[in-house]
Amino acid sequence: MSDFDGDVDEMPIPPLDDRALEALLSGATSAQTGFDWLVPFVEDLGAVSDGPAPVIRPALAMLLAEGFSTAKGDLPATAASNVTGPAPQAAGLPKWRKKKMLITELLAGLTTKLAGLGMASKAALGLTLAAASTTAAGAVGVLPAPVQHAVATVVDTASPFTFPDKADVNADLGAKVSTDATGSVDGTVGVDGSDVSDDATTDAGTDAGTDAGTNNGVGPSDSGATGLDRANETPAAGHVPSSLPAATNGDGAQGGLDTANGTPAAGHAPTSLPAASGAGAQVGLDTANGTPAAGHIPANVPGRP
Amino acid sequence: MHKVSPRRSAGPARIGPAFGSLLAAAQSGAPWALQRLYEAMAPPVVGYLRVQGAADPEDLASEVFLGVLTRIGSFSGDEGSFRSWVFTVAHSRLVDERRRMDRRPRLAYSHDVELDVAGGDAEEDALQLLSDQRVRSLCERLVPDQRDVLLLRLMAGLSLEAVAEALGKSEGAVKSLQHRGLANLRKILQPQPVSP
Repeated sequence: MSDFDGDVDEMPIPPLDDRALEALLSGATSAQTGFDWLVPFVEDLGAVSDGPAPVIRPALAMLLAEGFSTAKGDLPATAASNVTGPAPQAAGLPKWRKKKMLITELLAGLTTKLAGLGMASKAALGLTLAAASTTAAGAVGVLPAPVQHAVATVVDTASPFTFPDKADVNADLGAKVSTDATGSVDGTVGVDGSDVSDDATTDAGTDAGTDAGTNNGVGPSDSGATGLDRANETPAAGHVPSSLPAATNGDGAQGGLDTANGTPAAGHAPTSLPAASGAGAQVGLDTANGTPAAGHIPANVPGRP
Repeated sequence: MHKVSPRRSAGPARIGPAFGSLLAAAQSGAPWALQRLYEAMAPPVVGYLRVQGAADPEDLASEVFLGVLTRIGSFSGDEGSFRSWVFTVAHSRLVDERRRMDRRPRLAYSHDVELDVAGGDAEEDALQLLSDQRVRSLCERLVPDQRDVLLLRLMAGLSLEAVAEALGKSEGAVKSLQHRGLANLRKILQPQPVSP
């Protein structure tokens, strides 16, 4: 097949508008419109168009023979302009409609899948969802204390994760206070300082607690050597002084005052210390009696066991 | 097989002033009105599909009218609009068939295809066969777009606007294709004498 698409005209071709076409097809004025050369071709086209039109499709033959009823539902409701296919929608669906459709489809899919599960699977799925919900609530610490404690215990046992357990903190504090207050341990009602001292000896406060008991609470007892030794074990070892000023009157606390007066805060250091009465703990009691809680302070401090 | 008798005319068949009442009857489902519309429009549609090289023009035309007549209830317009609609559907079905054929092994085209004319006058059949061969021979020498435009104009009698709508082109593009197609046809039909 050779397509012929060259510019061949030496004589211009008149425009074949709709009116000229009508004239040409009617054959009346083709000579006047300049399309007489085209008439044989148009006649051939007419002859081809006069051929038979056999009805091949049985459905079409039935339609031509019997027609159709105009009752509702007999004919497809497709518009004539859509006979070649549905016209595309000019604008997409609004966003709220798309979201609603998406949610509806998701729910429908889940419902379909749930319907296909057996009873055991449904029960297992329900338990899993409940456990997941409880675990999530426990992770953010919004459960009631007993439930939070239970969840934290389970999670700590069964997983590498640790959940906050408010119940632990509250129970621990309440137990210690109530034991001291009731005197169930040492037979003395109220907080007597003995238990506190025991607590202090179990951790980093060992030296301080012991010193407070042995030296009657009057300043450092060992001329601060222990502190200097520990300071020399830290990265700041090169900046630690090699010695501490000696206590001039046998009273270690006075040495501390002298040292404080050698600092930029000298103007704020007390000028004297209360006299030691021979019992450091008694000094603490005297001080406590000078506070608003004076009526609740025990009269004396029992000796160390 | 239901047969519609062939009918001779100089150009595309015209129903004329009776089209309005005929359309109303067809839209009410009257068989006689549907048959009348089919008789008026089917031959040029079959001819158009045949000249365009459809594999089975009669079957394709039946598909076209099955779609058109079952949806005629929603049509509104005059005879020209109805013809434009029918040929638009026919061309769309033709394009669909070409796409389907492109996906299949293609058979060699035969120039000796004869018209499926049953009965009738032997002389008329021979003349029709000659006409068909001439038309095919001429159309094969045109660019496909030019051929589409000229056949829809000269065979179906569609307006420039209707052709543009059927082919999905602008009216200006259709005018240009028509002009170049006519120029090529004239060169074929009126060969210039070779100057010494």
